[in-house]
Amino acid sequence: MANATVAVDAHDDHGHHETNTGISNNKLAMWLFLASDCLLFGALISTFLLYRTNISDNTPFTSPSDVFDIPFTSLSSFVLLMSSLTMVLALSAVNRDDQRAGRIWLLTTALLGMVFIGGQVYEFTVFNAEGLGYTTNTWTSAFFTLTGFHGVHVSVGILLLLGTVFGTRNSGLGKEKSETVELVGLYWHFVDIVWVIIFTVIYLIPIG
Amino acid sequence: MAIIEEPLAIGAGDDVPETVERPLGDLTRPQISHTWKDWLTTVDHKKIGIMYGAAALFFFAIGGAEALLIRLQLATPNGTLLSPDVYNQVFTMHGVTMIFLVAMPMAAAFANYLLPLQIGARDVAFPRLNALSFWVFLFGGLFLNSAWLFGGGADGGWFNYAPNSTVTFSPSNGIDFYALGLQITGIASLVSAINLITTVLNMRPKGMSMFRMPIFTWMNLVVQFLLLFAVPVISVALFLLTFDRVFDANFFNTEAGADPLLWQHLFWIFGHPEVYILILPSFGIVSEVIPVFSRKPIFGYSFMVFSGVAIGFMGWGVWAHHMFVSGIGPISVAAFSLSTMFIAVPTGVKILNWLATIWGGRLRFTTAMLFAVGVVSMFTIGGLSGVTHSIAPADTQQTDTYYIVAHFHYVIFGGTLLGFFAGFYFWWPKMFGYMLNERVGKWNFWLQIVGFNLTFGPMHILGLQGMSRRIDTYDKGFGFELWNLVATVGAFIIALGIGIFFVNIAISRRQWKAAGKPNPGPDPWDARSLEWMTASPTPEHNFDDEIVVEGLDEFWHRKYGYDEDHNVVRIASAEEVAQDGSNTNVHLPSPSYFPIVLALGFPIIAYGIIYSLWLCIPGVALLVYGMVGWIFENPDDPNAGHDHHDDDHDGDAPDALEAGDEPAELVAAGTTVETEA
Amino acid sequence: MTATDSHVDTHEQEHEYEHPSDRKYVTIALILGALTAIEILLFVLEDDLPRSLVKVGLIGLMIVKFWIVGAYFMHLKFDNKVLTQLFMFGLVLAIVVYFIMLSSFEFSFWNDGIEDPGLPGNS
Repeated sequence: MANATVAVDAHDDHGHHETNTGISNNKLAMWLFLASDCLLFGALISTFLLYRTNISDNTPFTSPSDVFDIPFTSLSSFVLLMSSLTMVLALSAVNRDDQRAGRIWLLTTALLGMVFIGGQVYEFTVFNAEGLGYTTNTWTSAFFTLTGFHGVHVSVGILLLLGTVFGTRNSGLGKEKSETVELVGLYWHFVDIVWVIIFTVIYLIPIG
Repeated sequence: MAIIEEPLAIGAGDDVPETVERPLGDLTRPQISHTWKDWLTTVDHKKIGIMYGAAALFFFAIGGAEALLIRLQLATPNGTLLSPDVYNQVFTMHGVTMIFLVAMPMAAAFANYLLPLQIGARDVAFPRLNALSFWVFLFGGLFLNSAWLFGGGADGGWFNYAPNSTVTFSPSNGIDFYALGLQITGIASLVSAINLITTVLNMRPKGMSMFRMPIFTWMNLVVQFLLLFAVPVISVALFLLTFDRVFDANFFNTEAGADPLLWQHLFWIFGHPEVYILILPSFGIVSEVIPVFSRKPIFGYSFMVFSGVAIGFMGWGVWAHHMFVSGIGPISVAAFSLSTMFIAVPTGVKILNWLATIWGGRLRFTTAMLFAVGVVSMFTIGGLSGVTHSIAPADTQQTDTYYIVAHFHYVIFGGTLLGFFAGFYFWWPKMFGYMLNERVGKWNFWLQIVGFNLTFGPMHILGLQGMSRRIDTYDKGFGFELWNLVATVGAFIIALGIGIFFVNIAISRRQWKAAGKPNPGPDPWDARSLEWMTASPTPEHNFDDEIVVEGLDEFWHRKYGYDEDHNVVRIASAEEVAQDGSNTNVHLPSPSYFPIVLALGFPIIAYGIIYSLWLCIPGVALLVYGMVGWIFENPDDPNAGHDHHDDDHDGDAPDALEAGDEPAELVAAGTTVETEA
Repeated sequence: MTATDSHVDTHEQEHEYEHPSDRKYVTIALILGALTAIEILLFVLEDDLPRSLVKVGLIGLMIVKFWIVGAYFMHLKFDNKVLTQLFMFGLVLAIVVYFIMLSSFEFSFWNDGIEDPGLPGNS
């Protein structure tokens, strides 16, 4: 109940002026960008699906399941999923005007993101050592490009999180910053649900 | 932990303290100097619109010169003006320039200038992002054309089909410049699309419901949605191409088992919505010009809106008609053939409605009206030849011949470009405060329309005779000589007509100055929409007071009423209704250095990708510097001497300016980078 | 304060603005974790179960996870419907357009009944 009060108040505080849709310009713009990004990842995922069976070219492997380390990737997927939880907890704390908790949760989210990126770097290194370079065949090009784009999105998200934490050192991270945190959160969750798709479509679903 | 426990510097509120205002010391808040420097830092949507237009005309001159070179080469059999290699580059760069650096930014010019005015807003939702869009576009366009200085332009046609565009077949850097340059202009389009959609959806004044917006605004809203969803597709295609060329990836490497149709699909999934991105702004302009000079409201307003929206939807389901001969299989061909025939329906609705608007109207054939009628007639010809392509067996004959060249010039030149000229003559007094000379304007129109038909009309015949598109020369005896010569003569008549347009600007301006700069008044054409309800040229703050809108064609209804016999009578002069622009007490968004600084990072990174990745470091550094400065710079100068928002909650128009709030632009700036990376 | 509270109450009932509590967020995350566990279980049992069941199950779980994050963590469920519509438009457009694109690669073997050996999707 207290949360709800704060959320609505914060919204009023930040709204400044009425918009026609009742949505702030910033939030509308963020959702438009996310909608647009669906087409970006759609194209990359489709490119991968087109080449998904080509892993055997120039490599000793016959199927992607020969190279994927599912337990490891499951763990890093789980880490990214839980970073979405810490992100909503950060927003919830900022809405309560609990600056300290807000910063801690934001930093935790960034940290979980870094763990995920670290896992990705490790995976890429292992693949490379096994002879799956970026230029080896169409499969590797598509795989590294798709997961690489996702990794860049996560990295940008980490920078946004750190920017929010350290950029508000002077101005404070009170509930008037709720919209900033909310927008960073929207971006972060989007990156997370893209990984939900990538994890299922690329790693788990068997070919044939 | 010290970070977390640090006490608050200021209380709740958005004002950033002075020390943070200048985090990097150098680029302090620019001051208004009333010199050319203001243009570099402006965030005013009108100045940005004018700069878009000027840049587009500059690239138009380049693209036009390339067109004349093509026509000179083909004027006679066995032409030797250009080598085959240079010819490939010239026609490729002609197409790329005209589509991405002329038609799209010219549409952006009109959209930027007019959208906020037509809905009665003070500015766009994010003024600084608007400036960023322009500078990113400009630097992207200059980067793309700088290929001429670095070993030649792209040479695979404007769609650069893979694998012809891979390093094996195009070893020069031209296609790298193409891929990265369009990537950069794509960022500009995407940012601009988000900005303008937010503006139209969110910033309308009281009473301006969606179905009271002018058709021009509607068509541009559809265009911005098309851009929003189409740009990421071409971005991916261009990334894949760049990675293939620069990092030896295998997306289009047929030796490694890649499928070159992937490029064609991605390109045309973007490419067909792009066709509607090019034509719909012009449809919007025509829908404004025709009612004004027919003295009638637009016929079937809601049909006009919904047909535009329908074109926007259906534009996503026809892309493979560009690929009928590439072996996509009979099922795909049949399906896309049908959808292509269907998309002619909403376009036909529009043409019918324009004719019905003209029908029975009290017509005034001003230059703007002539150009608008030119669009309706020329686009119809181009549209009809387009329908012939939807029939796959016929298309198989026509593909890659001059028939296709004729078709798309009838729609892009005859539709888009003539529409822009209608817009120039119509809105020039509103933008610059003086009228363009009508007599010279008519010379401009007739030369352009005659030259246009002489150039592109014969290409239908050449195409059906079998002359290949993109061929650099031809032998005697195929029957191509006469019509090629006619086309070349026509091209020079077009050039003359367009030259007269520039002459007209100079003459009109001189006459206006000689006559003591008479003001054309707010409403020289007896027009209908809100942009005419303020002074000419538009004052910096657009409107003195918020306009409360009560219906479609609000401005016209304030000027005209009905007498007892239901005859239309004038009830007020335009000067009485319009605002005089005298309100000086309006809080405007503050200018900023950071959009241009941030934008400059992109071409540097692009040169780095082509020549040496080390060069990317200063590029990225500039980008980061621009972003950090951007984030910490309050979009509204707290020292401007106006009350800040907290006192001012009644939602009046000046307050609406503070839309581009600091925290969210942090996010927005971040997103542009990650699209680029 | 009571005045504000009552105001908020009516506001909530009208617009369903109620945001979940922290406890509820944790519950949702646990559900997401459990769904991920089921996904991995399906993957492990891949060879023992019918292929189509595994595929349908995985895609179904993916959609559920996507929906939960979108509806609760991105609070589309509680927010203005315009945002859901905009996002769904992009999402559905992407799915439809790319599905048609990928199908057209598969369909090309209809060409005179001759399968094109160069097509990577068919190998």
